Amino acid sequence: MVDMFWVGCPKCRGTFCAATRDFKGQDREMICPFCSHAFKDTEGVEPQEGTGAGWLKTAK
Amino acid sequence: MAKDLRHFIKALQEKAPEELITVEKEIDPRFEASAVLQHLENRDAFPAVLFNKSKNLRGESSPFRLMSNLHATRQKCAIALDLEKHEWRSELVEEYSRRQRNRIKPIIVSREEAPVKQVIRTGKDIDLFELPAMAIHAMDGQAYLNDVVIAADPDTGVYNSSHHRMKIKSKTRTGLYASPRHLWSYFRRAEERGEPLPIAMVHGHHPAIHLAAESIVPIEDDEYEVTSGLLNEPIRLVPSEAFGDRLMVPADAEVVIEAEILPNVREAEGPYGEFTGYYGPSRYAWVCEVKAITYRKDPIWVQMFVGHADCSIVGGIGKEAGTLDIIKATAVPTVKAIHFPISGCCRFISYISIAQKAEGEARVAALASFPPFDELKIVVVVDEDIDVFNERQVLWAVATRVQPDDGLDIIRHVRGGTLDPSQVRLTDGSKLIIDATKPQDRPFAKTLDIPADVMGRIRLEDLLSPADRARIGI
Repeated sequence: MVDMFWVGCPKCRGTFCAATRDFKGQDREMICPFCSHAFKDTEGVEPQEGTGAGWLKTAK
Repeated sequence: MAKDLRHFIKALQEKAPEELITVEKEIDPRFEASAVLQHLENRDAFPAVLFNKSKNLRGESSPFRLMSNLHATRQKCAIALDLEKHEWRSELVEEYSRRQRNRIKPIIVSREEAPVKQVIRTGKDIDLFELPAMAIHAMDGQAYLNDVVIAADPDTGVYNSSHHRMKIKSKTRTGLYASPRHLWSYFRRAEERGEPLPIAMVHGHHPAIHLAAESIVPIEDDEYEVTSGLLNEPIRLVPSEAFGDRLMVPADAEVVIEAEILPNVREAEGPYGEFTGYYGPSRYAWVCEVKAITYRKDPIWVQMFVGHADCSIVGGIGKEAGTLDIIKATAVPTVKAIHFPISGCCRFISYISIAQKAEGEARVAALASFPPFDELKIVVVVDEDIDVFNERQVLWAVATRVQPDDGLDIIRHVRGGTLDPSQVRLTDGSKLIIDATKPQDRPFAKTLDIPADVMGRIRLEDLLSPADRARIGI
């Protein structure tokens, strides 16, 4: 799989993964899967556990 | 009557009623449907589920019914190929192989004869949010289309079918992620000419269309002909609304979404819960503009439960048949059976049994199986006394017939699957061969057995009480 990084959405704080080669240092907008906010990697906030839709809390 | 989804549902009801359940309470396709499927999976239950009442993506009651887990057991796939439910092991692989080689030309029908044309939405009437498209996993966030995508080669007109994730972005717009295979080649050639590529997304048809989408065939081969072969009858096609006979679509589908992949347009798409059981990261991916949606008056929207048995099993059977044919034709004619187990997502691992006649045949069989399918990563070759559909037997052979310094081979820097989470570089992976066959050049330990005449004489039915027999299923 392509190299990826974790990023936090500056609007909803949701945490998700994105492909490094597609977005890191690129002038391209990511779309937050939780709130659809568009932002560049430089605008992303620190990924946090249990944020957004709660990806770390998903029931097994 | 042509084979379609309803034909298959009827066959399930007749041959394996335990393989189909219905839910009458209205369900939200955003996570609620997948929660039902996950609860069933947690109980080791994998029936097809028909939700008779579903909401759409606006939260309103939908006229569409919703169905998933259509391929979540090999038994259902066996029934799809007109076998009995117990014929799910090599019988299924061999039947797929036989039908895949028996190419049948599709037939063209008029719009009036095509159930999928009973309702036609174009222009301002197109609204993807009116569909019961599933949002499956937490980090998907939004709903996706994920069933069969059909396209015609822009140079030859030959048809390809394949599965792709397509995020719903607006009433008329979706994303699309494709690994570098046939559809990728089609679109790159169209894009070089500055042209869009017409595609049709099919949500709801006979499972043969899904099984064909996962076949291993050359790019020159027409996958409508493969689908017809698997159906054992010609698939009925009808011209699309938006592209006419430039893009023929299945007449007996439940729903067809016609769209164009736009040239020189890329947008963020994903993350998405992939077949691997992990989230694939957000990519800068293709964008599609929907031109028409057509469907039956009483439509059943089918969506795959990606990342689970529904997705794994439908992908594995075509790989088993295609790889078996290639090994048999080009490498080891005495190959006996092959299985892509669900523990390897029915993609990454294969178990192959051979009647080895000479030293080295196990490696030859393994090597022949890699080129046709880039996601295959680990091949275990066993002797014909091992049942490749019994993982415990396969691992027993690995445990007792392999010395790691002699039985393993690693091949580095070979094209691998782009969605394999363990693969650091996008397409550059490695392969592992485990030769778990007995050596040919020296005596080897004999497997245990009970005297055959005693085994034949002693019957549990004669010795156990009715209660004990019931307890162990005799």
